[in-house]
Amino acid sequence: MIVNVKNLVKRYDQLVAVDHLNLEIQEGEIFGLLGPNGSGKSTTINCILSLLKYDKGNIEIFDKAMNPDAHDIKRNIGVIFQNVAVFEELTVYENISYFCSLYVKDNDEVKRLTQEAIAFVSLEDFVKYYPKKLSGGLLRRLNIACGIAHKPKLIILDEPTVAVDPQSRNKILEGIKELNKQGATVIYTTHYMEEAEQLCSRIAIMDNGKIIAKGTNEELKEMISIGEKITIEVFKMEETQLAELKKLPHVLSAEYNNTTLSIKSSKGNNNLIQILEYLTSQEIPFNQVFTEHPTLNDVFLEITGKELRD
Amino acid sequence: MIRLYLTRLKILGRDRANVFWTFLFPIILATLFNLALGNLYNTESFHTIEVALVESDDYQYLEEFKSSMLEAKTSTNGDGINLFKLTECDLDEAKSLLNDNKIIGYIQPGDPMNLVVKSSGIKQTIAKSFLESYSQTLNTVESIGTLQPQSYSKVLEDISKPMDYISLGSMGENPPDVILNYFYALIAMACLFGSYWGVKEIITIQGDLSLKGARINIAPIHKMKMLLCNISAALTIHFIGILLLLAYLILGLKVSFGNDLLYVILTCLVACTFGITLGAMVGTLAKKSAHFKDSILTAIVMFSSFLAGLMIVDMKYLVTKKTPFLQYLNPAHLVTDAFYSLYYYESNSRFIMNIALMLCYTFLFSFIAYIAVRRRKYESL
Repeated sequence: MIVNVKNLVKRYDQLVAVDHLNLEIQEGEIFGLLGPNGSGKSTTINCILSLLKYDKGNIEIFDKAMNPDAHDIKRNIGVIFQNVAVFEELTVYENISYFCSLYVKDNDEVKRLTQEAIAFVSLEDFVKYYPKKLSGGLLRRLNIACGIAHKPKLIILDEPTVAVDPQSRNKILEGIKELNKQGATVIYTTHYMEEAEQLCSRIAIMDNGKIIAKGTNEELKEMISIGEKITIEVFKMEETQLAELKKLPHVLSAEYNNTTLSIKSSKGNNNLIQILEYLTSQEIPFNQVFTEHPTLNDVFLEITGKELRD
Repeated sequence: MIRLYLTRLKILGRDRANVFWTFLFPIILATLFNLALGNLYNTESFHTIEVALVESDDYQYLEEFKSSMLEAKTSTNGDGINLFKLTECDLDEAKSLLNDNKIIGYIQPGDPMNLVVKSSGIKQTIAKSFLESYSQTLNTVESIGTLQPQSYSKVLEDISKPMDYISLGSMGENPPDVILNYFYALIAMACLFGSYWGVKEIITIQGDLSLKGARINIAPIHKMKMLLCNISAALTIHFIGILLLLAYLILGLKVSFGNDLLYVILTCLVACTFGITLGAMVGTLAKKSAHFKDSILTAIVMFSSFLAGLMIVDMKYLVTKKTPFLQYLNPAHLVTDAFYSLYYYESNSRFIMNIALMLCYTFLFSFIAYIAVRRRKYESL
């Protein structure tokens, strides 16, 4: 096992930031920690890294107890923080080389790894640039290069795409997949459910310092009752008609607002057909029809009663 | 270690703000001091005293007195200038000249000699001293001539020798120079600016103070080794800055530091270390922003330099007189006093005391910083 966290508790005075958290991360996974801001994701990561003191629990990495002096463990960990942490006074090349040299002693090896990291994040044209001259997206790529240049076995990314443009975000996500393909285990914290769905092989959903659900994308969606979300453009609908619609088999809820009829149905076949048949029978004109499968937001909503984006 | 040290040197050397405050600001200030205070040397130099001699037929030694006044010089060396410029006139004209401030006073010859002045001052005092000296000498000569005529020729020979009327006082081999203290206080301030480097190093290495610190804390490198590396780099670059300032002061502005240049350099090195550890200690004390900590240090350094005489030279003496204990607590005073004692005193005891005090504070600050930095995990980030 790459990471094994048992009963982790971290308090800030009266506030319980991490509440008896258990986590097992296997080699080769891209493990997502998904949750809203303040749910305890970063605190958990900082405890795992032995940066933060914690009140209770055990943390093992690579099957060894993690502590601040565990240099052999640290040597195989790479961390990319949400905010860029590089030296303004060093160029792109010098920054990557400096952080790599904190992990690797051999000078030639540092040079080789630095070059590889530069190529990996496609910063070849900017090696002599100072961070101030880089755009936000390039700066994020530099931040990532500084964290992974020493080829770690475990890479921890703490919300690396916050405030990043879509193009750079895609580039970053592709890069993470590539690192995973090369053998690195990845822990990825985010509050963007789309990213977690797109990237992670397993996801733990956090709220108020607790893991409220854990599993693969599909497993998480299986946990909830919603099977399908149907949205239909309806120009006119009576209250009585809406009430009858709600009584149809598999319909869990139905709302009508400003020509939009939103229906959530439970798992089952032909849910859409029976709804459309009902609208036709009632001579209710409709236009566009959309259906979508439940998202992790629906999972979060059903478990906690609040939106993931709140 | 060497690679980390060299990279740290590079980082610090490219930090424009710190480089300005350490390298350029003291040099600019020294130049301004030199422009502003350079004229003080000229104003302190001696100018011939203009006096009037009221004509009198009653005084028998008038011609001898006139020639004594005209021959009096500031120094017995060849470079002495005339002490007096004499204007012979009647009493009314002398009064008029005095009222118009064209002379500092007028002399009414007689026994005793009478000097009339309008105000007191160094020139009036010199003129009065000259008259008293002349009168005493004349009385002595007259007495000897009456009582011991055989010694008369020897006495005349002695009193005809020229004498210095102005001399410099000093406790050591160097003459006193009030302007030097401004430059000493300037170097003290520049050395204490090292505190900015110290606070920067602490912020860089502390995981709860900066993200870079967090990044360094999760790397497989011993924190104290890293701090030692970084502080050494800061000391190197700061000390180079101070040496450049020293070179500028000695070679460019001709500021004198006495003859013990090695001790002067040693003082600078100790003061730089002292400044950096002061900053390191302040850096660890509170979980505040770098800007806040820099502001605290600016206040400490400037107030300390003020008390050491950077803005008003008399402040140093005032502090020494009124609150003597404060001079041992004031970092800038310790530095200026070390320079001062090197320049003025032949004994090194005062210099050694200042250096020892600086080293004690350096160890104390380092210890406090160490206690704070040695934490391996943080309560919060």
